[in-house]
Amino acid sequence: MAVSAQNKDLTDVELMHLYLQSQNSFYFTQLYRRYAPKVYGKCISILKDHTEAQDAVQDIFVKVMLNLSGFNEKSQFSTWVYSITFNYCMDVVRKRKKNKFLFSEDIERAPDVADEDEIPDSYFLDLSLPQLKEILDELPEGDRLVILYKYQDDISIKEIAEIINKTESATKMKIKRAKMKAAEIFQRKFGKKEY
Amino acid sequence: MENKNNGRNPFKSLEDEHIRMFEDDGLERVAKNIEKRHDSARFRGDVTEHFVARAFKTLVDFVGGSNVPENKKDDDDRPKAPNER
Repeated sequence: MAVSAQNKDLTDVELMHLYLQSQNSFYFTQLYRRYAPKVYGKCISILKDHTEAQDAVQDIFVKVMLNLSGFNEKSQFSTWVYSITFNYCMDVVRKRKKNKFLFSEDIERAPDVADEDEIPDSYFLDLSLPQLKEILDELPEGDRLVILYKYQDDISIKEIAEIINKTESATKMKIKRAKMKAAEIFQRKFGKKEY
Repeated sequence: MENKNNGRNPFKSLEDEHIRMFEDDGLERVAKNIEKRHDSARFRGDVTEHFVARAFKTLVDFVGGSNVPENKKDDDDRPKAPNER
């Protein structure tokens, strides 16, 4: 249909304005269809339950809908949605867990690492899918999400920093520590892997 | 280094798996639920708007407010200087 083809070409912000002006749910549904599967992916990775993850997607998008007029457009629409997703998932985890640590650097004091010690991206991009799943399962939830935003969504450090509400340097450090933790889990489960 | 995914980023493969799961069960159902929430929020908004306007009018009537007289110049109520007519 010509109308849907046109809507596919509309940017997130254009759809958002059309929705706010017309209050026609059709425009919001377009935004939902664009982002809900990705949001679900993050929720299932954290919550580990299909029904809970679906409920989370619903809650997150209702939140997006009700707060849409307050979105200031300083960041990208996707960054804003991912930030709501991150906060939602972390809140659920905090309620579930006895300890409140969401990142490995909160749990254990990792040794300071120089830039040259950074684990290359290829280390993770060469994993098999079952290996990746096992590693993600054991990573603290915060680490898991930053790793997914980096390697699954190709989101820049600046945007990840906005999503998790940290400075860029703190975010870089969190990603570095998360990678170290992931490599440590890999070695424990599958043996040493050179990089 | 040998890639065990035939060159495919395993994170993207995982995402594809999740997207399939959600599209098979959830995407449409959640969309309908959100639409219902939209309708009820909009209905509540309309109702609130309607009743707030009615309540404001009632309040204005109650405290003795009246309509703005027609054909009234903008500066009729402005304090005049002694030499001003």
